[in-house]
Amino acid sequence: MDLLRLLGIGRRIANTASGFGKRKSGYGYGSSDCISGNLDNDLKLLLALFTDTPDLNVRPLTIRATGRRAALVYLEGLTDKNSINNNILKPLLQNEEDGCGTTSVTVGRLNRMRRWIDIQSAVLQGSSILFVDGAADAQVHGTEGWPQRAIEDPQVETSLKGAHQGFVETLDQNIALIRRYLPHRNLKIKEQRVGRRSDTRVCTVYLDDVANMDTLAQIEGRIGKIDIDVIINSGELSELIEDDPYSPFPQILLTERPDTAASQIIQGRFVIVVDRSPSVLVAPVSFASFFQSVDDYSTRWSIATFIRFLRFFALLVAIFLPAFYIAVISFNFELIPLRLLLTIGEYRGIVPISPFLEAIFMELTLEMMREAGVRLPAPVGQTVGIVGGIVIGQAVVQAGLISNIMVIVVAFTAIASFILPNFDMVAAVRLLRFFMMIGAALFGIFGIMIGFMILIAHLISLESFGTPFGSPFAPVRFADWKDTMVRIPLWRMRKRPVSTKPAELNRQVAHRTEGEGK
Amino acid sequence: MTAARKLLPPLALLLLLTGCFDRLDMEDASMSLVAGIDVEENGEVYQYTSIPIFAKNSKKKSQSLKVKSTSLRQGRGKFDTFTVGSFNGRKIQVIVVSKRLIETEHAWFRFMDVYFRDGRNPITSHMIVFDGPLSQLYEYTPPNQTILPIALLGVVKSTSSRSEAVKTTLQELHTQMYEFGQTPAVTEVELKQDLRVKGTSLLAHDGRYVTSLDSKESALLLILKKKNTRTVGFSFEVPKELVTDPEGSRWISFTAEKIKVKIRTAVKGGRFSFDIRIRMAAGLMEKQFPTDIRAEQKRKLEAAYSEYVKKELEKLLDKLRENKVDPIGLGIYARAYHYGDFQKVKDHWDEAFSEADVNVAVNVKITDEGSVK
Amino acid sequence: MNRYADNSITTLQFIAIITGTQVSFGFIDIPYELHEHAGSDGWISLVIGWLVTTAASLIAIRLMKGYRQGTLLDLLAQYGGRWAGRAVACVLACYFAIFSYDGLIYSTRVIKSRILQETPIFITLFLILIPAYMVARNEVRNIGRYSEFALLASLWIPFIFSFTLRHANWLYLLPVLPGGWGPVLSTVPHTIYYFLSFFASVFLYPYLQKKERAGMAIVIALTLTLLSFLFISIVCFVFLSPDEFGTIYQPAIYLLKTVRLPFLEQVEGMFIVMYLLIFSIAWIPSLYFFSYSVNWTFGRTDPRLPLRLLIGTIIVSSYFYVPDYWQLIRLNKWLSGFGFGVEYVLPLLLLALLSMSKRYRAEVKQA
Repeated sequence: MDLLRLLGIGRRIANTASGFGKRKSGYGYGSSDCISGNLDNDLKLLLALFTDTPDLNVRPLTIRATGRRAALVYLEGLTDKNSINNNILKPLLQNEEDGCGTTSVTVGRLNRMRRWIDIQSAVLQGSSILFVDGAADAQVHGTEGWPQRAIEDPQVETSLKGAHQGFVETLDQNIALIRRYLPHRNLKIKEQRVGRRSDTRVCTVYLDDVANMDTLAQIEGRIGKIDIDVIINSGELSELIEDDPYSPFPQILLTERPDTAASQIIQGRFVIVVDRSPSVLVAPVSFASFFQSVDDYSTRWSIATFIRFLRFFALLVAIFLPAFYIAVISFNFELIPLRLLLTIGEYRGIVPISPFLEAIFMELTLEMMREAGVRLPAPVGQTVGIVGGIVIGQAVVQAGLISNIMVIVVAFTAIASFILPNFDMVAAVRLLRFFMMIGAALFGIFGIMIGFMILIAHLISLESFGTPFGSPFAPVRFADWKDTMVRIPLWRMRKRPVSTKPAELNRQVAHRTEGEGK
Repeated sequence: MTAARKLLPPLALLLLLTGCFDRLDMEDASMSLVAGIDVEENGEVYQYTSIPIFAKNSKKKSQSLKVKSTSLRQGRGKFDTFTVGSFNGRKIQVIVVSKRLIETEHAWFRFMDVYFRDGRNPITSHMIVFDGPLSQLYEYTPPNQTILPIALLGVVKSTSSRSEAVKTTLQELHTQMYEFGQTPAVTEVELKQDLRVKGTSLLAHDGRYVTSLDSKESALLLILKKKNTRTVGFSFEVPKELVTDPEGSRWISFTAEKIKVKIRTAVKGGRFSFDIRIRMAAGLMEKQFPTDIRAEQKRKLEAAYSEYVKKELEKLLDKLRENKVDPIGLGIYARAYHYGDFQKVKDHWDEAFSEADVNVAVNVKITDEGSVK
Repeated sequence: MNRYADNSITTLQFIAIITGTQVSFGFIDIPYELHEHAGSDGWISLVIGWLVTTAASLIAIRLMKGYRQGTLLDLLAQYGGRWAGRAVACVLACYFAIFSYDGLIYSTRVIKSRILQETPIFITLFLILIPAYMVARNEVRNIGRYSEFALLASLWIPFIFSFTLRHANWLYLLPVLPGGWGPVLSTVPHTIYYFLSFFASVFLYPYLQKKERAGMAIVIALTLTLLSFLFISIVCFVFLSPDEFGTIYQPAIYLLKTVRLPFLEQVEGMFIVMYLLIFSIAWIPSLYFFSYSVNWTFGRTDPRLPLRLLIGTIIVSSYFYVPDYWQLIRLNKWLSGFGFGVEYVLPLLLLALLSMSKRYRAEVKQA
């Protein structure tokens, strides 16, 4: 009857209305459509909406206290059975006290909703809805209970001295983990929803008095403009809100560790937590942030400084070493001292292919082994390492296809890239390496230099939400150097990094109490 | 921005298609490590080269070639017809000229022009004068499986590290050839049983060979040039008065450290005069006779040592002036302090030097006796 | 105007741009130039040249104090009308275009003769213009950052030259002033070419964050340039005998050929390649100023179009014709004359003219 007409009109309205708010549903009703109050009608409409949904459970019941007919609707699997059975059904069915009715439910979160959009969204998010015959509102209970894993060590970012907790796939848990590190009332959260079909909750977490409000406005604006159907992972979100998705460098840091996230918030950055994803985004970041790891602050500062230097050195090696090898062997062998030249010459005399091809071949093999190692389960993965390293490397040299020096170069490069703490930066480095090798193969060390200059030209124009990416090297900000190449002692770090443009530059000064040794 | 981004891939491809123009893989290059120039009796100039062989199964580690050519560049083309790889001179370690060349072809330095003009050639290669025909040198296989350039370099470096011979690179030779106030000095090598550094060849300002110094004289020359290494060794016989047994051995050896040389110039009546003062601190290294080094004995020994060095230096300086060569570079001092006077004699400084007064004063202090008395 | 505030550069960046542009080819060529005219006393001419240039640059800064919200062209438009501004803009556009062309060809020639001997020049030119375009097409802030970085990345250069001091003979510097002051003073005009482009300060002035520091900044920049030139000149003078100096072009590179590090020989190859960073600071700001002048004449703000036109012309023309060394030297001489007029004389004239305007004097007092 009117149901079909309602559907028809609703669809037309839905199609023509463009400013539909953040959620654009393809459902056949208007955004302002509410439930009718008549239980049977409502249930009919509900079932018409949720066709082919066998996990939707509609539990008809009579509320004992008021005698009214009602129905509890929920999605099995998304809800916590215990909570539904004991906290909702039990009081409703058994409670005889007068006047309580639906409010006798003993559930923490209780809302009332009227619009179909909200109700539908609530059901799909794991709430259970109570439709009462004659009531204009439906009652929504917070009974979420989907399957989730326990808190474990983060897979990718291991730390020696830091906490062994990593984010999980539930937004609220992740926020809780962050709150544990910063129990301060100025820790604010701005929630948004992204994705037409996924309706993902995205929260921006920051410290109100420290972070820069302009950057916040930018972040919120960009997230708001996203028009996509599904966000599966936070990595996708990062690509959508990045300044320059074409750049090989990541402009948003992804981390799985709550301690890293909290540390970044304290420095004045924003952490964006995405529901269903164990990685959170940190923005705005600069190039130097990708070389910091949480262990740096737990180890002694002189060691930490040494390791920081090592990382930057490793960056240079990982990008330029194979290219330098090719350039020197193919173009500028006069740069090598005599004895080294003769040694290399002996090895090169055996190999039938040119240095460039040799290098490309070995690098591609290494990349393939790396990817294979990621895909394989752990026990088999070990074998790949042994097979790759020993058998292929050694056998290929003995067959005379690749020179020893090339194997050493490639191995050294691989080790150097493993030192970098951030996966996205490592990926960027792996890509750039090939780019440099091509430059070297065409034009020798001049080609490498041009590649380097192009890289610098690119880096200095890159920005991450308003902060220059190349900071603190270009533009030079000497004040920020205290935490980049070196890690100066904690009690000297009085100010936050200038690059995040924090509202409050001074941290609370950590005074080191004089120990007996000094 | 998007327009440029769209252009990028086809541009990149275009670039790749242009090919690599300057590429020369190491195994495709035959690099000359020792370049040699000789002149035969018939007056023909010959060039020599020694290239390392990088092939896996070769018995020889290097290959020597000889072509006839007056122009080095042309010679390179001729070498290329012999070599498997592309011949180039980018890694030349040693440049050898035969003594006959510098005796007969006075302007032989013109051959070196190509090494300076071509931007990729090195100027740090060592210059060596070989006493004998170069074919002898290039046929020589050094023992210990090394190749010729390593053997040559080794022998030159080891002697110069003890200040027993002059070490001249091509660039230093260039300076010496052009400098009006100095004449060139080059290491001299010969092949007698084995490769041996004979001493120093002294050349006139135009490149002509003049005379040679042996290793003792070379050491003194290095001291005067202030280019000696930390320690220089001297061995001599002490005067008979200082020894208890005059018929026995009177040999004694010192190692001089901290040699300070001060040179003063003056012009007296149109002639230059140089005052050279040398102060040395010496340590006793070898004493073949019993004697007590204390107070009086010590002073006498020092006096004897100073006298010995002074005599040797004077002998050297006399030899230099006789041959009208100034490898020490006293002309530079003259120019620095007496510019006007020097300018007058600039073009024939060798003559002016031979007429100049040179006085030497040596002061030695014995500081160390060694571990035994 | 807002775009100046968004695009502001720090004092260090300002210094880096100016020093970088001046040092780039002077470093390679100045010892030869000085010695040719004044012998081993050439370094004195350098100091005198520096004094003159400092005076001229302070005049330029003083000029800009009268109009802090814009560049020189805006100042001219304000006081002389749009057409005065346009005329000067055209002249400056030509000047910067030739300046960058000169710099580019010079660098390409050095690379061709030392490293890439077989590669055709237009390919080398094309390659160096890629990063140049990437930096110059953005705003002044990027150029500032790039110059800063390049300067920091080149701090190793003095150290590498200290290896050459093994061969140094300080007697080569004596005697001082054998020929009297004549040769020294006559060499001063030759140093002008190497101090050119402090003029960029009149374009950079509105972007400076702290304008009161402009005078100090430019003096620091010029002093840095002077120190670099003095350093390389003196190192060359003590290394090479005065009698052989006249035979060697680009003495700085010749010196580096003698350096032998334990892991690297023939260091000059690496040096030239890494020096490209500094070479590039010479032409990138000029390219930018060229496109800025052209844009200003036509009232546009997008720097990309004139830039692409200029770069395209340069690359295409280099396929057909590239000046050789002697033509380049003649171009340099001509450019130094032109530059003298533009950078030294013009601000002086303008300052004199504008001082007669009351309004101008009031503005300056305010500063």
